[in-house]
Amino acid sequence: MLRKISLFISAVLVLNILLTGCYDSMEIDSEVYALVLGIDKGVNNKIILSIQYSTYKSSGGGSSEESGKNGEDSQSSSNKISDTNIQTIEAPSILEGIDMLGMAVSRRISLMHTKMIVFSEEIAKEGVGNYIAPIVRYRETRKTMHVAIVKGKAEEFINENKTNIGDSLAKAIELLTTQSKNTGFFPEARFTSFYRGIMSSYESAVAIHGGINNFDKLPKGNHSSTSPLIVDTGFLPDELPRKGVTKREFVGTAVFRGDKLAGALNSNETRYYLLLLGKYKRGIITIDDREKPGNEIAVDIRLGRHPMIKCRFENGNPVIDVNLKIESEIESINSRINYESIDNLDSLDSQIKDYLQSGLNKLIEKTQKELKADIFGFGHKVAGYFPTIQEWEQYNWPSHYPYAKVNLTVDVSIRRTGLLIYSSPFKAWEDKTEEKEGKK
Amino acid sequence: MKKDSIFSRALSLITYKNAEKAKTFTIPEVEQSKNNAAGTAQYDNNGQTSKKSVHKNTRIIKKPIAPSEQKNNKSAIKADENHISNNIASNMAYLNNKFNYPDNKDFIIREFIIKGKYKAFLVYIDGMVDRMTINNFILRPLLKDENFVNENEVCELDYILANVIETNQAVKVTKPDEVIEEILIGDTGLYVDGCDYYIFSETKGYDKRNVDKPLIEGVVKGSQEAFNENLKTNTTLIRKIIKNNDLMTEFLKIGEKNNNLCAIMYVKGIVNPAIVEEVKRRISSLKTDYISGSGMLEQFIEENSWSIVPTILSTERPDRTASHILDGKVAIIAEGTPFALIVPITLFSLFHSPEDTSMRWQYGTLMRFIRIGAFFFATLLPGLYVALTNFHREMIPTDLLIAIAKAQENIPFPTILQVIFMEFAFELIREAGIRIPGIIGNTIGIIGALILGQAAVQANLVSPVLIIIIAITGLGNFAIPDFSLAFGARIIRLFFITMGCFIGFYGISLGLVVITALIANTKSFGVNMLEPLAPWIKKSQDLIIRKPVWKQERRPDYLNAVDKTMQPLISRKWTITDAQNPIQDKISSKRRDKDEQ
Repeated sequence: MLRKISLFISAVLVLNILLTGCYDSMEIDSEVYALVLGIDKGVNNKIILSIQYSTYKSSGGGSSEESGKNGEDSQSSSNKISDTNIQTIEAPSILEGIDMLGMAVSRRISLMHTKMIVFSEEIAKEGVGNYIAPIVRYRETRKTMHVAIVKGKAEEFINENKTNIGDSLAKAIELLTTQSKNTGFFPEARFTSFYRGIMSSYESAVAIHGGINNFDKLPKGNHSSTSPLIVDTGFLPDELPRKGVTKREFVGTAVFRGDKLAGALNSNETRYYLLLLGKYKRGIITIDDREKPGNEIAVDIRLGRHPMIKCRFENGNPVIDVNLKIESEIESINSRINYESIDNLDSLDSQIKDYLQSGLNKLIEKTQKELKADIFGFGHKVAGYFPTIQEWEQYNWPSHYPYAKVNLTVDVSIRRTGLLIYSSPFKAWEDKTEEKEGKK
Repeated sequence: MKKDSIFSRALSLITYKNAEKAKTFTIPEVEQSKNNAAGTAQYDNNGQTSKKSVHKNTRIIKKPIAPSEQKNNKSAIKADENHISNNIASNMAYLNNKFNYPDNKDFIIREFIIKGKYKAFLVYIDGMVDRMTINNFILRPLLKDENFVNENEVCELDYILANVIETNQAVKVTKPDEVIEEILIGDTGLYVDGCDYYIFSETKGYDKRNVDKPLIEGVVKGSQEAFNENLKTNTTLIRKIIKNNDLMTEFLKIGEKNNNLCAIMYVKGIVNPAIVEEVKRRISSLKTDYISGSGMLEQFIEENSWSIVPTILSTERPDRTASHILDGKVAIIAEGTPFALIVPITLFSLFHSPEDTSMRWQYGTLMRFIRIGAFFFATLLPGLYVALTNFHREMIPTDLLIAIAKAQENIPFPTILQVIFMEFAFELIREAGIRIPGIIGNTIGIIGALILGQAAVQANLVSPVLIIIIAITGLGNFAIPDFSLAFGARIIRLFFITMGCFIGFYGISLGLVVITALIANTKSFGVNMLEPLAPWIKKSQDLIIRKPVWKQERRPDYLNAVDKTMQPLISRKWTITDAQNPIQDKISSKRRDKDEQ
């Protein structure tokens, strides 16, 4: 009898553990996963929240057997641009907005897989501090999501956030943000680093700067007889002279001072910024050939080593020495001057060096004078001179950064010359005509 | 008062008590020595088992007993359980009685008269014996008078044994129960009036299967022989591989009613005698009517019947058995099943395949990693899938998550039901595949693949992602080299599906702890299943990463073998060349130093 009772009790205990374990069990398809959050300033309430999530309509991927069965239907359905839904609601806070959307969306909205949060510039200028609190604290949200500040309204940006290459929106967002590594025209801004930048006294926060391009910047008129070569062209969102499928674009960096938007770096400045930060992976720059102006030289540059940043105090003012070692590979020499030879290599080195150094110096000056924001994290080095955090905080680095002296040295060395080792002129035609002209 | 006692008793159910001391077996250390005497001594010291050997593997023709002694026993003794009578009629009556003669038509007694004066009979069981042997080499010489040149008034049997019978094996049997056993295993007994013993000639001639290819443990490279149901063939197959005079074959009787035989094989001088003693102790203590073969025997002698993983290795390959025997283990082969049981083992030896050693070590090691991966797939994959999809959706890559959600969209069942359905369907295919008659066996694959896979997905019963999960799980299960372990993996899998379904990863990690603890607590003939990891002992050269064969110098440490080394430090003597080459010489001298150390 006792044995039976004890068995019963232990069975109840085991079932207790097992069955209460189920309480947060949920099937995958009983939720939708908001991939992008957009936050705009509200009219009647605090915010207007937009979310974008993938739908589970079977086109491609999921069940190929389905499409095999009725091939005609699937063909027509796969012509759809994107399998996502966008919902927008005005709400007092992000999380309540998500819940309020539950009145319209048939499944629970989960933030587990949110890839990106988009703020409008309007909100960013006022300060994002009021809006990001739930993202920091809420269990579901990923702290690896990207932070983007867009010109215009976040809602409109999300409306234009369509996948044109494949079906998967998640992949599109992930790869779009990875483009930062391939080109360096916009930074990779994860929420953790963004939040750290907002909170810390060592550095300033940055976010991806985005916008919608209306395709009206591409010149339409007839070109003049010569197309001039303009190098070091930086763009801001909505300024790219392009035409195409996707209207949304990420161009440059949004720079914050505290939690407020201070300004923006254009696409080229962003490259310099990433170079100084040591996060520049690779990218091709074009410089004007000093020997034969009007001819471009394209070089692939990358960091030879992590930037060496040293800090010292001179007469009570912080002095920061930055040394960049840059390696490059020649991709094209339009002037066909034989820069690959040992004698000419230094000339090309110095051309690249001058180009980079002037750009970098301009950027540093911009952050000091115009933006007044230490986006490079020099503060981390300077802080080493203060024994305690209190003293450091009392010192107030943000107020001193604009007056810090930054000495920049850049070393450029060309490591590879691409597939050619010798640039020679187009001999058969150019040389002979020149010779003849000379004889005449 | 009563309440108090119930409370204390209830408390005692969940509180710690000192475990009752059960009889445990551990393998003692043995001093290594050059001669086998030490091992034998240990064997004798430890030996306290009943010596119930039915008959020895070597049949020595015993020296005939002196005629004078025979004469003293002339007075008639009645044949009974303890004595063989010297009267032919009494003996015949005894055997007829024992074998229920007129009703039992298989039992044959052939009476005849030698030299016109000595009454004699042959006794055997029809069908078990080879007729030609009896006719040509026992009966014919006995009936030819010229064979009896030397006239003697003694019991003829000694003379017959020495001079007349033309069979290769013939022994004198003096005990009635041995007589019956000899008859039962297919030998032919000869009795001559006036003697109080029989002569048994080896005449086994029953039908048996040929040595065939292995069915379960097939390999690409390596021997292609497998055991069959005949005990003698099986021991011969091993002896064919280990040509060593120290290879011992001992026979023990198992099953009281079916009088089955089992052979214990080991190499004296390598194996720790305590293991042999323990094996013999366990087998000879069995009291049961019927043991059909190794499968039943395994269950009778295993240490822990509740263990999920097998604690005895069962193999149908003579080469695998031989390599284990030479490692210092004991093989038990039972008549009637084409399997040898090997004790003691560890969990890791269940992942080994004879192919590992016949292939080069790089390939063998890779295959072992694949097999261990297969084991984890087979046990954990569906459980992890259920846990991931029900509890930890944030861990799935977004694209995969949406792909799973898309696949799941039109399916009316929750994931766990689909998993259970597919698991059941898969087990059905498996079971039906075994039972289905061979000729239509091919169709089962088509039915399984098409109907269950394709159609279930098209009918929106099962998510295609799940089909992949179950398929990989099934493949993983088949890749486990040991059949019993594969069964164990299936049970563990169900356990993990349950845990994953109810408590997610937390449950799975709890389950892992429980399973590991259970395995760690299991012993196989005194050896912990997780050895050499727990307890941590000297590392083996052949655990998971198989080192080159010339590096495997030591036998497994947990066996405490008498001879601990398999080969010297330098087994490839050709690497040490003669003094002609100075560089080689330098190297070799260095190595020699190391060897001596």
